[in-house]
Amino acid sequence: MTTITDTRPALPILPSPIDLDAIAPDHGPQPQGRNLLDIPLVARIARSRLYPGILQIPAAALFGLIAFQLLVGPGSAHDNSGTAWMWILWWPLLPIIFVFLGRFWCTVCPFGAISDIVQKLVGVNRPVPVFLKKYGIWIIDAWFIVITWADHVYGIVESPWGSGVLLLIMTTAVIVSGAFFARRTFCRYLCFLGGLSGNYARTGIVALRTKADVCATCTAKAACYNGTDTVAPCPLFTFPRTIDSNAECNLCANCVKACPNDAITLTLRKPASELWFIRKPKLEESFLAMAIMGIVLIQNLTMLEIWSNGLAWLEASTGITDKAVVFTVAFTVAIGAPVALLAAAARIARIRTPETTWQNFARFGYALIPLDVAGHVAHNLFHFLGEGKAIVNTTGVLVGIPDPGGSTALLDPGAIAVIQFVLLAVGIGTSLYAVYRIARSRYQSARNLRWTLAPFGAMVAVLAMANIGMFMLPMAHRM
Amino acid sequence: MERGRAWFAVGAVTAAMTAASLGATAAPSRDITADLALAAARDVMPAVELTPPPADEKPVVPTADPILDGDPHGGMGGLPSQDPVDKDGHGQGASPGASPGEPDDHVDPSPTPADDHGTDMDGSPKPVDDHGPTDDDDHDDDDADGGHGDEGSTAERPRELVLGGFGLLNALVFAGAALLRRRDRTAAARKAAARVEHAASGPTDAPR
Repeated sequence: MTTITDTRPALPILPSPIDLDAIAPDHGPQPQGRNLLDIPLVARIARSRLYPGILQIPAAALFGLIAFQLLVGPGSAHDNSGTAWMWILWWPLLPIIFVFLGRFWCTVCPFGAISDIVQKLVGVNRPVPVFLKKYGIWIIDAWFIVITWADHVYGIVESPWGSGVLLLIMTTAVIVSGAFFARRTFCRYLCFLGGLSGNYARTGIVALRTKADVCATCTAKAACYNGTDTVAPCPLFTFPRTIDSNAECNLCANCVKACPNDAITLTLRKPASELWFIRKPKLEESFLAMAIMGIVLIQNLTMLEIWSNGLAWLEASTGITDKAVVFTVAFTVAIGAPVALLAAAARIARIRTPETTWQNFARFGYALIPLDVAGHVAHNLFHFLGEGKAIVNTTGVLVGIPDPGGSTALLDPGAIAVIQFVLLAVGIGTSLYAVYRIARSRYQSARNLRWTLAPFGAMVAVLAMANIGMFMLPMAHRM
Repeated sequence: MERGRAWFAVGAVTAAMTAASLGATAAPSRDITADLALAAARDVMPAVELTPPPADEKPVVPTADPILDGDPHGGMGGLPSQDPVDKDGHGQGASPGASPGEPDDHVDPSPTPADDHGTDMDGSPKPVDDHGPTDDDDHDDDDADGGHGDEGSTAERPRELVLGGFGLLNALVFAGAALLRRRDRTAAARKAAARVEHAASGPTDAPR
């Protein structure tokens, strides 16, 4: 038996708790739960050559049908099955998938499949440009904000044609990326859904990691990253040996197939637990979390009666009738408010803690992700549960079954409201707990804990109140 | 050099895509009052019949703002407006093909129900209007197939243009990438051949 002796020089004893906090290691490695690859069926699926292709084919077929319906089907969203499938079914279910399976959707996503096919046919496989590596998440942030803005100003969700054009734009961007750049450059560095899923996937309960002790002795020349003669390389440019986040893994299982040492694990973990084990918090990722909160708020706001009343009041009092201008101002405020709140909290925490405002901003922004997810799911469940029958009705029309008409709700508004508030409560609780755990992982002294918990807890509380207030008001339907 | 050309191609594609999408996505902005009314109506009353506007209702003449006017032919082609009675795609727009700010010369100030169904007062089909269909023609298109004009009509053109534009763009990307790939492979093959030749020429030729 070998014993390991620590030969490092002892650290000097420091005089104050602040200094202790300043040099304290943030945290240890995230504890890993049960390895799902120990279950024979899961292991067989992950190592199968049919996975994930067998899921991509029906997804691509459905995507084709939806795109066709959106582009050449009925012009009214109310009658268009593409709109129903895309905005009433897929969009509400997407964040739920992220919570349970991380970025699993990205491995099934038809855009990824298109990129792979284009690459096989004409791919030039240029390396990812440096600026994309450096500013990719900022580009995703901008994409996401612009698309949401365009949705309101030009009408994307409520217009089948608009939704179809959005799909065309994304398809073209995917084709350009697949044709010129290696692997799934678009998915990793440009896709706004990828950015959203990356953020939400941090709350996921399934995580792909590696056995560090096995990897330490590996001689396979990073087969998990580079692939082998029969297995494609990691599409998202992630080296499994160093992976510590769900944001950069789509569970395609290429590394599982390529690893000759069975060092890859697929473990269960507590929901959202990754948020307080992030080693290198990034400003742009925190910013995205805040922007998403702003987007959820503005999405809710514009579907409320007070929005119309507000527009009418504004028109009467100022004479401004251009809704695009009014929306742009409201949108900027909605996106800016959570960012400003986080910045203010970070600035207050800066007063008595050793980290800078931007370090605090980057570190604690992740805490808002559970509330983002909860708000997003609660908002979209309203559409799914309140208009879900439209999916069946509009699809039935395609095969000659007449639309029965009547209410398209799956549940009554009261039941939907209960679900929404339960979700919000879970999100608020998890966000507050995340603030606490992030603070605990960074600071040990009571004073520093107080100076971080108070402002960031208040920030979560303010945003929680804003969400609760909006969900208490009646909302318009999508179709 | 190659990278420069690739970037040029990407830049050109992005610019074209942006231009196409800007032209394609001018559509009405969202007014949720009608949404709320429609949602409430749908929840309260089963099978609400969406009726066409009454015969004595004057059509809306578009102003200069395509966003506010909800011109269904400002690129989006027959988008539904937010008016509950308009949910079937009966946009309140100018004639298809006209510029968003151009008032329609042929707007009938008092459309009749007969007009809404694509016939003149005497029941005969409307003649093709050289100046583009009126609002009522727009209704005809939407009634006929849920928002699409008759084959070859001006209403269909923006859609065809957008779809064709995307198709052409993607074809250009494919062609550009294929050319680049071929050139890369030729260069690689030439390099490999040079290496073989270099190796065959013997160690004495090796640089010292």
